Amino acid sequence: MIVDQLINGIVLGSVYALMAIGYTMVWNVLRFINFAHGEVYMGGAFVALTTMYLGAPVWLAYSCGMLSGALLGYLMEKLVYKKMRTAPKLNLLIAAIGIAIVLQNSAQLIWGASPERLASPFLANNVNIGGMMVNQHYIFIIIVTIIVMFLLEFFMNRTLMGKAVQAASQNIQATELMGINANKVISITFAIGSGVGALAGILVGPVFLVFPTMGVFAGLKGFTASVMGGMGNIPGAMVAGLMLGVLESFAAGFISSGYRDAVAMVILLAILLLRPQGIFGKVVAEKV
Amino acid sequence: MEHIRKLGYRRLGLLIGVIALLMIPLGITNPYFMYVINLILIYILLVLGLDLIVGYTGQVSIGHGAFFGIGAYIAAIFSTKLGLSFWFTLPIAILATAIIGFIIGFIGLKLIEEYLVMATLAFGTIIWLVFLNWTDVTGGPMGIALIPSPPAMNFGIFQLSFTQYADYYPLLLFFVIVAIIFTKLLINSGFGRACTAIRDDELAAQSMGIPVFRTKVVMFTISAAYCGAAGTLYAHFIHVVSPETFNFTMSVTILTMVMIGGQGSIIGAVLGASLLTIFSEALRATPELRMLIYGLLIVIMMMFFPRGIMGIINYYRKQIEKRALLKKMKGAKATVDVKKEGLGYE
Repeated sequence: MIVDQLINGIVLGSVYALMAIGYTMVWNVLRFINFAHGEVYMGGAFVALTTMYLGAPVWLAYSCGMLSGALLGYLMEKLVYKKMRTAPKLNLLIAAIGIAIVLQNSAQLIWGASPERLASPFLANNVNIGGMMVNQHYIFIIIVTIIVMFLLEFFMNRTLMGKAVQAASQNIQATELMGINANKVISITFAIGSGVGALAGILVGPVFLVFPTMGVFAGLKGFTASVMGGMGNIPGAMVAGLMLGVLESFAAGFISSGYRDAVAMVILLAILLLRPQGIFGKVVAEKV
Repeated sequence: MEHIRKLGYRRLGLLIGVIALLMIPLGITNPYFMYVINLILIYILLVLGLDLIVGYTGQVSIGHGAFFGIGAYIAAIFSTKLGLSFWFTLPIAILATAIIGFIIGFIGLKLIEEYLVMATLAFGTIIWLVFLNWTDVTGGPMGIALIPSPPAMNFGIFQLSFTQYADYYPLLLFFVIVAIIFTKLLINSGFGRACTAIRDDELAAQSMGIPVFRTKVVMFTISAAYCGAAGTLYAHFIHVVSPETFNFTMSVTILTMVMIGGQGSIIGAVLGASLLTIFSEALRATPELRMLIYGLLIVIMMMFFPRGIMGIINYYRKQIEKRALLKKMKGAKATVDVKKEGLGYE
């Protein structure tokens, strides 16, 4: 039972971690919460579903979903957020919520409201790990998450573009003065964050099904994880996502499944009030 | 004629406006239109409440749908389980939402900007989950049905039996007018000015001796109480409360109305609530496209008209005033009085 919950938690947590990356990366460069990020998660899963329906093999469908998620994030930034760079934060927030409404309802218009299961070649098989039967797809989710995390670490720390993104998160004006194209950096940030978010949606598609409002709670959880890890801290977001998944899964298993979503919210509040810099963050003096 | 002039055109306009508003139920026989108008009045209360904290104090909340829900659920529970009438549930609900608002404000308002947004979001979601899961009290996903109407009222000339939508209209209008007058008095008081000072520059306000945290908490409490009142009215008007009404979408709807109408303006609140409600009801004919267009409208408004409808109106008013002033300065004979007239909004 405990091990079961732990594995469920880790699987959920991987998804939250992937979602959290998108929030945290955007926060890093633009200091704003992209409330439409949950819809990228949903969009990616739907595109994967459709490409598979059209007869594409699984790997192609999954990559198509991920790429379209990245494209969606890129377009979102290019068409809306870019025009609002100087707007008050509140306007950006409402615009993001507006985009979320548009995307959710377009999905409903195109694909309908009924949940559908995304196919996975692994779902039918179980693996025996030390006497425990674990679904192969769960293992697949965990492995993919680990690979993505390593790739992201590599991108952020070893490539020039990744370093530019890091520079932009420290000071975007200074970055421009250094001859880095800030707009390009922002676009890349959105594309990568959204691509990873879409991947999260595709990975859970076979387990939790695909439907137009699937992104709402996943978005909130991913967002909670990004706050837990400390806004803007990518490794922190990954660890926090896993922690959140495990905590939630234990709470659902041992307290009450109805309040499982409340766990994340209580954690979010506790973190905001007690450690607003996140579990792994350092205290930074406020600039006045 | 002299008499009217003395009264002032503005007051006359106000009088005519109120009389016209009172006449609405006589002119509209379609119960659906009456229902929409009543709904607008409830939304106006909500928007006025949220605007106090967002528009006048500069603290953003996306959890006010929960206060609306608390008001509605308290009215529902007290009237169905204890048999209390509307006039008892209303003060109880206002008091209870104010207390909960105070607690949430006291905890949450230590946070600033985005962090406050996140915290209110979390509070709102937790309260919504309580509505959904505390089945013994809230009825779970089914909610509470059969909430009684307010007791019939007799004013001699006309009676309100609360058997049809038109009967609710004078009651709701009364509360909206009370709320507007109260808001006006509140924002013009010393306390209201302190709030505006905090919105414009928190640090400067603090150095002027304004107790920033306390002021914010008090305003948050008042703002929650408005939503509680709206919730009670909603419960007794619709007769059913269920959790999905008071979820995140409701909080977003209210905030959107504040933003589209224009923050920090009573007329903006009225316009925002009316236009968005009418818009969303008018689009019911095409349910698939309804929310899609609604979302697009929000995005476009935020991109191109960041200060909402009042922003547009004020812009053109300033243009006209400027032109009038220029005309005067050129020495033209026309005597244009540039004194602020008309909308009466600063």
